[in-house]
Amino acid sequence: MTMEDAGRGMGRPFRCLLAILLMSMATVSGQTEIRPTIVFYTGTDSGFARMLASLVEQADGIDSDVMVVAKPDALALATALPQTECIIVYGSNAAEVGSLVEPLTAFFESGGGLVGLREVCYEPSVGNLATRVFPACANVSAQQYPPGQKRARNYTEVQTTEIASGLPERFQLVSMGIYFRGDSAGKYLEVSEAEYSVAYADEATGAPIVLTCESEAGGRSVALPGIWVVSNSRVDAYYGNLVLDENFVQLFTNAVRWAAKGSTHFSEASRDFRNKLDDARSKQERLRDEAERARRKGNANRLLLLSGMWAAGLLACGVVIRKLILVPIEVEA
Amino acid sequence: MPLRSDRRVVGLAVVSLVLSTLTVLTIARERVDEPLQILRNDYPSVVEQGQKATFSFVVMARDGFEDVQFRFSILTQKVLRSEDLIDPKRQYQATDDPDEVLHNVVKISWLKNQTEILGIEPEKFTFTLQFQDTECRMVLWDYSSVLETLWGGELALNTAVLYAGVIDENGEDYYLEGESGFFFSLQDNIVSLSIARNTNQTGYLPDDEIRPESKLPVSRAPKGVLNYRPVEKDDTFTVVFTVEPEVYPAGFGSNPSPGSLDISLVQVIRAYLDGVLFDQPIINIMEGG
Repeated sequence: MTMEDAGRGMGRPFRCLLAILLMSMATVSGQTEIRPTIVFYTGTDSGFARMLASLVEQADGIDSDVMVVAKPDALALATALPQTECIIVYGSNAAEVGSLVEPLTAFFESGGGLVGLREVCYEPSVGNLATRVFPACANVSAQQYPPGQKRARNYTEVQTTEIASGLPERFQLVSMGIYFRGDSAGKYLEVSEAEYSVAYADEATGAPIVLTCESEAGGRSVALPGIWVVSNSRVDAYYGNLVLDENFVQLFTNAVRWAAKGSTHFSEASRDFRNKLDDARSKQERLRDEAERARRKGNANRLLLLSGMWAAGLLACGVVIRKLILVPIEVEA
Repeated sequence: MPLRSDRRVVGLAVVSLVLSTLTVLTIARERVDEPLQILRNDYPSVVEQGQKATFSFVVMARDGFEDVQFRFSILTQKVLRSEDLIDPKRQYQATDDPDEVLHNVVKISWLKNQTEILGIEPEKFTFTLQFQDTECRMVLWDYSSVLETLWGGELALNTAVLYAGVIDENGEDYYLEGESGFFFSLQDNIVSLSIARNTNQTGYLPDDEIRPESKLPVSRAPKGVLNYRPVEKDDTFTVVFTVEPEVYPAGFGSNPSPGSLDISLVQVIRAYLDGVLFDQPIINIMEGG
């Protein structure tokens, strides 16, 4: 028997009841279930963000909603929302991400997933982002290419990680250059402020070009400091060329998958947010109840006190009448 | 003779009874009119860059409470670019709902959508007020409490979570945004801050000016939210601070259109008595220099 046959056999009232029940169940589940969201921000040019979002939408194993925000304050607000699972930030200059240092650091430390590209990873003025979240804080650049040479960085695998899944040990991606921390001779130095793992290094400099970090609360970040592209489609390092590169697609979606699905912020925040709101409401109700109880108790005490005063007043009157009026009258009589 | 004395006695007893009852009833009827008395609410009419300005707020509890919370917020007017607005050409009439000013802002529309799917609403307040002899209607949306609840603590978003839309009697519209706090960019603009409950006072100075041990760095000051539990009748609360604005929020500025009011800053003060908002929020409007 199919569902349709079974439905035909039911009486009309029962079917109506079933429909109402199913609708109310759908409403309840709609209220209680929230979808994980991956938020993209690429500074002043959101064209690159839309292309990155499109890659994630088409990727296997990432069923989250995607959203592109054009303003840093919208991204800051997104860090406080329980549905935000992972944040992708491309900063082409420090000013685009300067106001995001505190909210993104707090998001990472509270268990959020992040993928950072370019300046958000290495620009010293972004403070904690460049030292603790995407620890590629830099003072040296490698951006000179011999004439005629393709502007690209060679990625060489340092250790086998989930992010390297499906990728060759060595591949090339277009890039205008890379920044890293180095000594006066330009030799790579480790960023000592954070503990991190290096998945891929830049072949020419030996500096990390794909690195990962985890926070105590379960936050995960992937830094891609070598992704330096431009919005001009006539330049070889145009971001439209990068998103067509299969190796970049694999690297980027692996990074998002690792950061989004392995971090804890969404699972915990989405599970707890109704409890938190209910707790806040019940705390307010408790306060009102406590206050009401205290008020009632105060009123009862006041009533008792007034009754006592009244009784004492009457008693005093009785004593005065007895001693000062009745006794002299009796004596007189 | 005993009869006459008995009558006098009965009369006296009745008079005593009536007087005693009236006295007790008079005491019993005595009620506190306002649970909170605002003793002082001083603020400058103009806040100018580089000029010192002092704000002082003093209230007295006229009753005992289990829990009292004071929330200070500051909003500044912001000139929005056309890409910040859903309909940049939107004109308003004096009779339009000031909510529409906020509905037309891309960021707020986005936040509203994101929070509505969670069943979350901001705290909303509407006011009608006079400023520079012009009647204005104002709406305030405050997401600070609900986002603090979701986040589980003090927010460090570095972005506005309170939004206000104003339409004056001439149909001019104004958009303001801000956050919880005594003043914007407190770290950069504060000269001194003092918070007291009765005689128990805590003073704050800019972090780089801390010398006397009795003062604390302003970075450790509450971010505009003061909680007291429990509160006794006649407890007095005082907040006094002096600012010298040097650093303004990004996008700060007055509405450039001619004939519009200079609503540059709005201070909002709210008191929650046992979790319930006392009266309407206090709205202090200032011009910018």
